[in-house]
Amino acid sequence: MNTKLLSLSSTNTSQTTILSTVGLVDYTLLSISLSGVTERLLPTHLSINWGDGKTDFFENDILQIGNIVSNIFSSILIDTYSHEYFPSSVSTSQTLTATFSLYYVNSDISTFTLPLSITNYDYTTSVGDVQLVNTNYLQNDRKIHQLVTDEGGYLVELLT
Amino acid sequence: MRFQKFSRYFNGGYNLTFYNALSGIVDVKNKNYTNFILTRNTNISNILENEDQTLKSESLLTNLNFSDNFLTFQKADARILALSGIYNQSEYYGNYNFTTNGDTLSTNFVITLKSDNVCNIYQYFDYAKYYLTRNANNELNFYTQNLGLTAYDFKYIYSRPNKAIFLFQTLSGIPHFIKKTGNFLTLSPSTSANKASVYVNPIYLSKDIYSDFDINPNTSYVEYGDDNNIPKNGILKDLENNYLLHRENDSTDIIVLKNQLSQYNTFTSGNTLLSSQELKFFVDGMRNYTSICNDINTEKDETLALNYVFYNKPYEIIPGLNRFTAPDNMSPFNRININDTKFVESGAFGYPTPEYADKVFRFDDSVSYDDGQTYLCTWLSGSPLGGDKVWVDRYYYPDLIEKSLALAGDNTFNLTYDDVVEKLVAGNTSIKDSLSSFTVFDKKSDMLFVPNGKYTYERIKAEDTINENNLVVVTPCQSLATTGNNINYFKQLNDAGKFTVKFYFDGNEQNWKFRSKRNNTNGGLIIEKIGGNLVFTMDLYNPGFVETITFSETVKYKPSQRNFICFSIDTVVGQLYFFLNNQIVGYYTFDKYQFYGKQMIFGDFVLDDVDFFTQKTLSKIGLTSEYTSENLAFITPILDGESVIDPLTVTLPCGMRNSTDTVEYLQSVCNNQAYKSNFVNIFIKNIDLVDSDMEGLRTRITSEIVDRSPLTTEINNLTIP
Repeated sequence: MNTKLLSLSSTNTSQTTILSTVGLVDYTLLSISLSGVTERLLPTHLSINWGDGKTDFFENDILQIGNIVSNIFSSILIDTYSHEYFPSSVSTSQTLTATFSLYYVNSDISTFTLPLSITNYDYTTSVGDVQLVNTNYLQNDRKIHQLVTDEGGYLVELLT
Repeated sequence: MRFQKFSRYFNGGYNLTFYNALSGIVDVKNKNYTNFILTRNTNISNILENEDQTLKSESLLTNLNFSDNFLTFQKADARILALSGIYNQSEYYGNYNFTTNGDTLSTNFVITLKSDNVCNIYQYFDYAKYYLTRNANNELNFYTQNLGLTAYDFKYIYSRPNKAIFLFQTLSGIPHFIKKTGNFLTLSPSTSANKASVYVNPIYLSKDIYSDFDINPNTSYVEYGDDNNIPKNGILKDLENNYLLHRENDSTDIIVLKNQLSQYNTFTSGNTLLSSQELKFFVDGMRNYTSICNDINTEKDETLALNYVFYNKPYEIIPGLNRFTAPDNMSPFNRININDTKFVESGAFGYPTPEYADKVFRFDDSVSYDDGQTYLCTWLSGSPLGGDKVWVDRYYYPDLIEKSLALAGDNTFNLTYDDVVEKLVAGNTSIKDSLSSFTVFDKKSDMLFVPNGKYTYERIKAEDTINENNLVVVTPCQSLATTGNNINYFKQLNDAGKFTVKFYFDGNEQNWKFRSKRNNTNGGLIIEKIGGNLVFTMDLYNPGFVETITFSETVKYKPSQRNFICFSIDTVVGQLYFFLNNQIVGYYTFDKYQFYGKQMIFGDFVLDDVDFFTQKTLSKIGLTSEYTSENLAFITPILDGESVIDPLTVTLPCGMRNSTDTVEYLQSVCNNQAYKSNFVNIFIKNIDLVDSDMEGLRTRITSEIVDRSPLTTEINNLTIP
């Protein structure tokens, strides 16, 4: 699994930010830090749409006194948020858009839009050689071959 | 359950699906036309899809706690409203104050939670909802919605770990937060400069907005306490296991393998390779499965064998004497001190003297001793009721003391051994020199387990008896009741100034009273079973002041089980206790010597109903003129043979060794295994279908079974009654 860390920042509480496209390669753990986002007013919560059908919601805990960092009170600006992106199953690359919405106590919303481009590994990189470990003979001369990939050691099956 | 998976698309128009469970697989084998896959050692949450485990409430009935002052709803005072010029619609006005009791109807409010962290708060009173609302004067109070006020929604920030909420409304573009000022709720500006003032004004709720559902699929090791509850630190979560996947046709089932069990298939906290202050148990990583070693011996064989490696050789220790030989290889150690083993964590039994403690002896002729002392044994010093335990070596002087007495004697330090005592002795010359005047002494154990060493482990068992010298010859209570003879042994007990009485009874419906006979003086012991309760009463009569001091306790016994009672008193030290089953249920102290030389009891013990003797209501009644320690009371049922100490599984490091686990798996593939024929008959019974559906079923089975059954199988006959 690959990893990628991004940091978001803002200067006011109703800012709409469209970030430049970030390229991810294959199976990647994307981590987002909001430590640069303004706390001029206190945020109430953070809503994340990761763009692949998954959403997350985080309450803002301002009572984590022991965790106050650089005069930041909001847990949602201190914590880091991670999500696993998988490569496309229908094309060699895909484009997604992740959205981070930060809601403030005066009803302002700061929105960060993050376009993502995820490229699959090619066959050699993701599979490498395969080793045949088993074959099941079925009716009508069908066979299921069980193979183990060099990369990742996955068992995959091939129906012939 | 669904397995975690993802697919990759490759140039050329094809894709492959990768299952997390099938990454880093250990082995794949076929048996009876089905696939068995042995996975890597991992959390099951890493291979199965996880469900959402948290739900958010839509509304909440809770009190609102402002630093132990609870917001309390009141109906508005109509007279005051009238003075303010409000003569009509007074029922639309509420009011509030603060009280210190948050458990009343008027302190419980409904919080309605909306999207985007918006909420409102109301009290349902006299068939009307009174909302906390900001009025035209920017003051907060309770009003019904009939008045047309609209500022009853609040933005909120919620701190889940503290169940605390912060409420906000925006005035003139500036967010304001609610805080308590005197006896009023006020709105204060929340700006960048004063944000610290927000978090010091939390409003605590009595309930959490969120609810967790613990559907963590990972395996856990759970310990249950004596009360059948799970102690706070009694769970070891997220253990890693190998899994055996069994795939047949389109379905796959999963078997969690026994990575936490010893070679003897027992749980023991005995992984000597784990060491952490954080860990309470050392059960994890006892096995690592490496292969499916039995492929196809016969088609009829339904057993699948799995090879695993283990690093801790187990030894089962039963009550009594156990002899064992250490492994011939103790890698990664050359030898290991007994205090570095996991014997204590696995359940070794400690006691203040070696007489009843777990003892280990090593057969070794090579040890020489100075000053005439002789090594006796290595024993586990500590209380069986809890606290730290340490293995110590006992030495004794054969010229001065017999071996049996050396076993029973308190050690030199009169307390269980610990490092503090060792340092004290080592650092004090006079104490060190005076040690030779003692007949026995202990030191932190030097015992080593070495490869191929021979050892004996002794564990307490029923055949051990209480020191006969302590027993008072007592005529059983039965004789007292049946013959009426008064033997007057109570005088002997009073002369000693201390005594212990113990017995067993069944937790049935029968009521009884066991007591010391008395004259007109109000003194003595009474133990009475009334319904589901046991009532202990000890009256100590002080003739000097003509007064009686009463010590009493009422407790529940175990119904439908055998119960153990012990009572012990020492008037010299000034202490007594009531003991039930495995713990003291009442412990009292009184002035030293206050009752020494005076009568504790005024007659021998009797049961009030003669029938109870013949029915053996109470059994194994024992009486001594000694004070019994709590530790000895705890083990008395074991010594009496009324309960048995659990067998113990201890472990020693043994390098990497192989062993085999088997899985019995009933194959559902329909081949005729009994006669090795490829022709099978199918009988379908206990099915309730109309004839037309039955015929459809026959057609469906006949047409589809070809694709579902093994290649060589032929269907001979299909019978549907």
